[in-house]
Amino acid sequence: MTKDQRIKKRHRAEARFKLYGLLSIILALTFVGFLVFTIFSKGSDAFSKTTIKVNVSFNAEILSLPSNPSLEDIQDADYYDLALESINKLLLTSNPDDEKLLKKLFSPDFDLEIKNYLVKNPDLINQTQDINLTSSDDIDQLFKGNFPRDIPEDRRQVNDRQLEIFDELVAQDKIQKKFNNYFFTNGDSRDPELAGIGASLLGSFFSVVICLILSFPIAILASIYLEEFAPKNKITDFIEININNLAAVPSIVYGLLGLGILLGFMNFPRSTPLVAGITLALMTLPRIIIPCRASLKAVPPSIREGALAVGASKFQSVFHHVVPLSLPGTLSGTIIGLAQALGETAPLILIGMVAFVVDIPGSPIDPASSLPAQVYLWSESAERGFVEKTSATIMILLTFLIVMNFIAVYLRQKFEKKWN
Amino acid sequence: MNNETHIVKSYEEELQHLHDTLIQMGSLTESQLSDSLEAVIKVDKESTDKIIKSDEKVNKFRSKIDTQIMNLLVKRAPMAIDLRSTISALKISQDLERIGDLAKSNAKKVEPLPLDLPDSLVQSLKRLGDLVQKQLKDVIDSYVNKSLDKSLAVWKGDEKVDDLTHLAMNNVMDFLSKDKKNLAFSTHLIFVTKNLERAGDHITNIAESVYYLIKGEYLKGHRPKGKDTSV
Amino acid sequence: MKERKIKIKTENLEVYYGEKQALFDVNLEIHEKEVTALIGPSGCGKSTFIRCINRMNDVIDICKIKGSIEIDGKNINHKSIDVVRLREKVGMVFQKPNPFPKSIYDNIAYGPKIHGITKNKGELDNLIENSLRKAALWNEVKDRLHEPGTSLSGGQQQRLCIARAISVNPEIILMDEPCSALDPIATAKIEELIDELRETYTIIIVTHSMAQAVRVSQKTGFFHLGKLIEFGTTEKMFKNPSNNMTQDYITGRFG
Repeated sequence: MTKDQRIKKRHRAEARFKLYGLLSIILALTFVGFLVFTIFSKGSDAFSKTTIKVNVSFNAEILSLPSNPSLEDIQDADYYDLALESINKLLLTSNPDDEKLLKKLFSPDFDLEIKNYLVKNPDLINQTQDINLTSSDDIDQLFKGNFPRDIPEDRRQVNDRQLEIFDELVAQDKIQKKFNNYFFTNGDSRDPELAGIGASLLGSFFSVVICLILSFPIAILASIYLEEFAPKNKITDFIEININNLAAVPSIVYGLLGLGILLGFMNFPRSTPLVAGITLALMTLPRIIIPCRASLKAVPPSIREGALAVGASKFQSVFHHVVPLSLPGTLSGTIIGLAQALGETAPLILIGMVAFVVDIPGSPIDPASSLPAQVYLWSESAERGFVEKTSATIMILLTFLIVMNFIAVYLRQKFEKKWN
Repeated sequence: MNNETHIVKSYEEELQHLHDTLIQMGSLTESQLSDSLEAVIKVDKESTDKIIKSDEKVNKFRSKIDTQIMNLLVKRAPMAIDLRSTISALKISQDLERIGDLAKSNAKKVEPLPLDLPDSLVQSLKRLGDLVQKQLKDVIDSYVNKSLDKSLAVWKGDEKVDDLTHLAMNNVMDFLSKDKKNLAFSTHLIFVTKNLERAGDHITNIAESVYYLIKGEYLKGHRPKGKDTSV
Repeated sequence: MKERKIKIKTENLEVYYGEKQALFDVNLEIHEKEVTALIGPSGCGKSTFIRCINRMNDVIDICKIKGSIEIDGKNINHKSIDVVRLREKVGMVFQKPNPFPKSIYDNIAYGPKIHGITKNKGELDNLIENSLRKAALWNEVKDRLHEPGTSLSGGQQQRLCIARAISVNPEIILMDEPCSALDPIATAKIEELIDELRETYTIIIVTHSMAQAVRVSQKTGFFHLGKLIEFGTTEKMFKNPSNNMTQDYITGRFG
């Protein structure tokens, strides 16, 4: 082969390699795009809910309210009859079957919604007001177009008569889509229209915060000690090997640890973000220690020598010079570790965070769920309404992860700029 | 003095080349000196042209050595023995050139001399000349062999040169006083004597340079002086 | 000329890295307020030697020291000596300039701050200006004290490191081949600086350049394979060394 041919061959090989790289990137982006599109298209519907406009007259008599009622009286009254009366006005029929069907058009909380409205606006007593009440899950899906209407009646959730009423209400422009606040404010529910990620969102938030508070300082200080101060002998080698191994341990094992020690031995409250936070912290510790140590190792010895030569003690040279220089790598590692912790499901299953939690947790020691656990639970449910909610939850989770990774990149660049 | 050679071969070669060139200059100077002396003793007026022309070659050597030394200083920044070698070569070449000039000057003085100079005068000049020649040969040997003893001996030998100069001078004075017609000849002969003495001084300079080169210290003490020759 | 007072004295100094011996029975006296150069081929122990003077070898676990090193008559390896105070007294400038990745101001301020040398910001500002002036850097950086130290050129960075060493008011400055990473002009500026500094500080400089040792120092020590072969005035060392090995080294007959 002549020299020219050889050079041409090399150039062609390079061009091919670049092409492969480009194709891989395009392929990867295609997959990502596909994923994002699928999830977003399925999940975007969850952010809106169908409502039916109902004219409610807050008749004090039906509510059995005294004259000049206090707020307590308003809250204690029974709104069921008033609610029924209001919705029956929609159809102007006295057919009892119709009434039953009509009720099924609404969410089970329809009387509560009316009550909450009056509690917020107590001067509406003996007034009438148009209120948008949340529709039932079936109507919601029907209005969103996810419901096939052309299958035989006995295989449908919604029967023909209901369909008729629905169509008529649509014609009367009483059915609208509004922002689904329940998705964020409510806890889990058997009824998809009322179900929300409130409990799991806060649960995840508390868990991650507790995980951060516990794992970050311990991990950083442990790394600094092991890297800078500990004598280099067999014991520290042994510790280093173990830390590396711990990072690779399946997360479910940490769940077992949490179950056995925290719940079993120490009797911590089950299914709480506190336990989840501690378990996740144990899991995240090695995942922070490893990048932190690598960052510390990467600081050139000339910086340490320079500090020592000026009369700094070992402690001062480490904390004033080495640690700040290692911050970019450490922070990246921490945030990636936290992002992983956010998305962990297996250990949380074992400590009970897959329970069915309705109430929003007020503190880390109230029972809660977590976002990935919520995705798992909802994905198992039969109702159609949960499909979109599952995807929406995944969207929220992904958004958090992306935001956290961006913060990692930003902090890294900010600190690198400062020190260079 | 050293068993090892320089790591950089070209450095070694440059120093060797300088050494060789200096020795060549020394040889040429030696022959110039002896030829001019013979010409004076035998009043050989034919050979003087050649001697005078050959002084060109001595000067050329001087330039060549100057250039070599410049290059060494700039390229090599010589240290210790190499530094002393280089500086000594500079000084020695200067002194050799001066000796060459003195030999030429003597050759020039042959032309007007008579053929019937008194024997005693000629003999005293010959003795002086032979001694100076020997001094030159010895000092060049001391450089070649790096002999401390020899250079010291040459340095001390300047005393005898002074003595023989004094003797020769006296003879010339006698010759002058015998006949006023001898004034012109005597003047030339005084110059010839003085030139030989000065050649001796330059040779003593060379001895001092060789001493410094070998020992690394300067010769202490005053030069041994013979009788005062300022008549 | 009357010989100056002895500042540093080593007796039977031996240094081991684990099993390997790096310095053999080194006996040396360094006089105050003059520049002593240490020359010798690579690996001969000169850097090891100066790192003993400010106990930088302490950070190397396997390094063991035998024999005595005295500064102003006191043994610096004695238990009672605080190595941090020692390093305040004995400053060091390294081969590759290593300014802290901080501003120029903070680079110099660090030492005085940790040693508590100044009482208020005004004093600190003055100290920093003085140090930079003494290091012949003030005019070049006075308008950009808050820019990072690493934004300076190589020669300026080295002068910054010298200013940093001076800021804690040492008595001795150790320089380990300070010009080897610099261009000729930067080198010339540092050599000029060393000439000025020797009026105030005792300086030991390790150098590979014979010519630099000649230009800069008054005394020179030649090391070979861990032994001190010859020590004396620079003039004698370079015109007429006593030891053949010294001569062979400085003339380039062996390396």
